Amino acid sequence: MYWKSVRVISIVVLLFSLSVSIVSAYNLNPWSWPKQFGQTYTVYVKYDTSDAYIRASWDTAVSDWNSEQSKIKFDLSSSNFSTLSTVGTMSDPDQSYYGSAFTSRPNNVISYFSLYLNTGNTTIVNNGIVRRSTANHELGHGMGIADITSGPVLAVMNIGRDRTKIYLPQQDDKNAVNTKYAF
Amino acid sequence: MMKSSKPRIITIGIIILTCILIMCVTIFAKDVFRQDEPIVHKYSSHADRYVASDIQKLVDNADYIIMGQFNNFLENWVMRTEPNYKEGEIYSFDIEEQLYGNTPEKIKVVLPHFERLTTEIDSKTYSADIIEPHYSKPDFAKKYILFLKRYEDVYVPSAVPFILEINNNDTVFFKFNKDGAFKKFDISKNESLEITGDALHDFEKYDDITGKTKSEILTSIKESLNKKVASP
Repeated sequence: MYWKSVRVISIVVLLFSLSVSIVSAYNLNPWSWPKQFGQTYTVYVKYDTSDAYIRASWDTAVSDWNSEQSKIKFDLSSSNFSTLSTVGTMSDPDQSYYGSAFTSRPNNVISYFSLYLNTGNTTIVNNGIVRRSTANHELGHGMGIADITSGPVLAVMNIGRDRTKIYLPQQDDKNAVNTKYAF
Repeated sequence: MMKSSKPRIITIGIIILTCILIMCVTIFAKDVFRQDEPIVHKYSSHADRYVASDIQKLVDNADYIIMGQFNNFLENWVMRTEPNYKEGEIYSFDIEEQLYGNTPEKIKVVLPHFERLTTEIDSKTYSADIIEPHYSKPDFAKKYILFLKRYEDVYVPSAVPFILEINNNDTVFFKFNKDGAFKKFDISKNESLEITGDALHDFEKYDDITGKTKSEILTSIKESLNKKVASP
């Protein structure tokens, strides 16, 4: 009886440790949107580009995130005139640079973000899947999720990912959002 | 004999009143102290970059792999003005050996240097020059292996980091910026601003290159090129 209990407890502890190590692969920044308990927080966003193919990439990424979690809803429309949050393009000749997120956040509450795809990078221009991967990565920053800087973690927030294969929010990314906005 | 419930009711009443009193004092104190609570504005840049910590990843994204020496600083180069000004340095580079791709014997290489992060608070502009994570000032006396792509008439990084420095005893160092990329401004007594950029804080943990010999690295590049060609 004693040994049976020890075995059961050991298995439970092992499973718990495993689940913690898998779940905590993501990294969170200390800032977030002022989401209320039990409600979905809507982030209104407008385009800062007239390029149709770039707009389409942002549209797709917004739709990807909105369908994968219910904590934060992105409302991307050219009629959101009053919002300060934007998605658009930048042109930087550095070919290691795919996109960028700039966030403003007094006392760790996000007030707005500016997200960019780098059209100076020829891979961004020529590959729609890489554009989608980067747009989803930057929207992740827009929710307060940080980069995963190394390791074989299956996540769109992993900067070492293969952008042609990992272009959608993965389970680890969804766990990050659900942990950051737990209630 | 039945006990009177009066003392019990009085005790419960006192406890409830005490709790209410404590709650009121707490809320009042919070409001009073909130006036003195510091406001910390934060503005940051987070880029999605091709980060490589081993030779295979470096090789996979490079169009040109060259070995040689920087021989001259040519000019500063404005890499972009919006959003946030970014400046690089252009150097001439003499190629001793082309490990991958065809280039002239002398090329111009861009080292992205800093990004000027600028934000506005109460109509006042604040900016900080944040050194790029793949910036490293070159030593003209040393040899380097670079992983590059082409942009118009110059060669630019294909990865972060992208510079391997070979020292005199043929040991290789992966060069990157370890700067914390953090600048603080005091706006008033209770208000401050923190500007942060990308930094390879803990990259040393994943650096799979530093400490290897030049010949080990060259062998590794060759093997990685074979894999790249086999599965393009």
